[in-house]
Amino acid sequence: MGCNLLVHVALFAMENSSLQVEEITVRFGGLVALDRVSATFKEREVHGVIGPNGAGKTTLFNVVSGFVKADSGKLAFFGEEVTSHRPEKLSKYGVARTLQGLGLFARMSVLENVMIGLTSTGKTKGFAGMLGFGRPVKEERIFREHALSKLNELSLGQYVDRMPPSLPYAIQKKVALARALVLEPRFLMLDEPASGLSNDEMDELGDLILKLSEKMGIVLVEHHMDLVMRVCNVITVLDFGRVIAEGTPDEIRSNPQVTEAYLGEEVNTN
Amino acid sequence: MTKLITLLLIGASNGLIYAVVAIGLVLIWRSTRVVNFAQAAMAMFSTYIAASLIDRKVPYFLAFILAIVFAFIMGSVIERTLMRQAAKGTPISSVIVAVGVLITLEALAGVIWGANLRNFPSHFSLVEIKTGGVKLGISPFDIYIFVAVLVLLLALVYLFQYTKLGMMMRASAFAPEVSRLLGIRVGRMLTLGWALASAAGAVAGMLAAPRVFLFPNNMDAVLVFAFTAAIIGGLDSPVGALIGALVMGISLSLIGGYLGSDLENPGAFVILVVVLMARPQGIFSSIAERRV
Repeated sequence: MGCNLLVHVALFAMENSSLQVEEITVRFGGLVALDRVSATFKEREVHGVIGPNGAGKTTLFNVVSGFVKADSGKLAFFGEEVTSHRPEKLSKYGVARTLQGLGLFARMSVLENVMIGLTSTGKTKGFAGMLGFGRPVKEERIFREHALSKLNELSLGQYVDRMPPSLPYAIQKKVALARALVLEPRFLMLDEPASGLSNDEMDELGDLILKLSEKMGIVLVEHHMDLVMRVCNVITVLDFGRVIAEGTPDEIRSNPQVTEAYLGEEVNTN
Repeated sequence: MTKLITLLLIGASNGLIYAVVAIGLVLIWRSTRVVNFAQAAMAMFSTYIAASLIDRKVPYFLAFILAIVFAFIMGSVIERTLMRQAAKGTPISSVIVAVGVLITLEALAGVIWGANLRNFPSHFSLVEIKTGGVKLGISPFDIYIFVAVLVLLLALVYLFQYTKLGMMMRASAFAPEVSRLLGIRVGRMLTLGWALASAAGAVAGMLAAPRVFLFPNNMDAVLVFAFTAAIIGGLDSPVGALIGALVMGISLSLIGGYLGSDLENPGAFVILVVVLMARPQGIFSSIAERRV
């Protein structure tokens, strides 16, 4: 009994700083998009999720962020089971997510785009607060400063007043990242952050991910294997909605099942 | 020459009323991609509420404000109960439900208040101002319309451009998924959009009623004009809707003044058809792929 309790406490402490999906199953009509998928994403770790197209990577992201409801299975954030999850709640759990597209607001400046990441945190709730009377003016100044410092941190300071569509793609991607980071999340979920980037830009992104992982957990869905192999501590491989392998980059690289899933494509890196 | 100036001023004054209805259409279109055909009926219904209050000796401006509050609540309730359910269906479901709301409100108004024409007070004189025997072509009521619409537009601009709430509403309208991930309660923003559109409609209804009288379909023609105005403006631009509405108001006034008032309604349809054929995305729309 006592021993059991100890184990329990130890487990809880370990789980307490992680995002967990347990035996998650999602069906779309007759199609099983995720089949009893389990994974534990830990803080200060870069966790890659890879697999061929249609393997269920984005569905997994959608379950964690609340867009898709799992038919069965459990979701736990920091040791607390999440029931009736909705995307609006994600930021309150300290989890930020970027989308495959940019998702930037075309008619708002770069600064506004990042500031809006903070609006849901405002202390001054309610109508008067949102309409900008009294205290909120001060709050807006804090938002502004906070957003500016995040933009500067990602060396985007010179673009604050620009409209996103007028900027190069790589810069826009960074703005989307700044918006996800402005709440100082404990976890960052990146959905194909490298798509559309040049090799140099991808190297830079890799450096940034490694730097960010000193402060937070990162879950990465990505097709560019060299980036995945370079930055990830753990990789989960999905195929047809199932986890077919999990391990370090080296283990994954030498796993024959993984190679097969990619239809002979060599999981090659240098 | 005096006739031309008078027609231009009357056109502008009517155009401002169309603008308020058109902006209501734009507010809802931007956030839900639904053309709210019930907009005019909602405006009519709120105007009847104001008329009933005024009948019971409530002062004009108090009744005006209470009708706006009523419209705000009515808009929220319609969105929460009917439109949110309809949005789960195909895109056409929402349009059909909106038409259903239009028919229901018009029928309900007939049951409650009767189908006869009635007056609605203008509170300001409808008679042209004269200075030293020269008619200015504009009445105190026209000036009131101008001031009321200007205040409403400035309030909306302030809300959308300078407040956190407005920023959240704009964000929800253009990228609901991203907004939700950022913790914005998109559902609430949609409700608020309907509430604001309905409130703006009430203002338009009360400003239009002294001239077109009050009866259950008194705003139907205004809806056609406002819809055309919103299309000219590209359906998602409030400024475009304002310009479109002024173009409509002035064009119709000139058609009515020079070609005969019978031709006003057909004139509106001709403008609508020409705009839809020549530039379906609207004249002021900045985004080409956003089709009507």
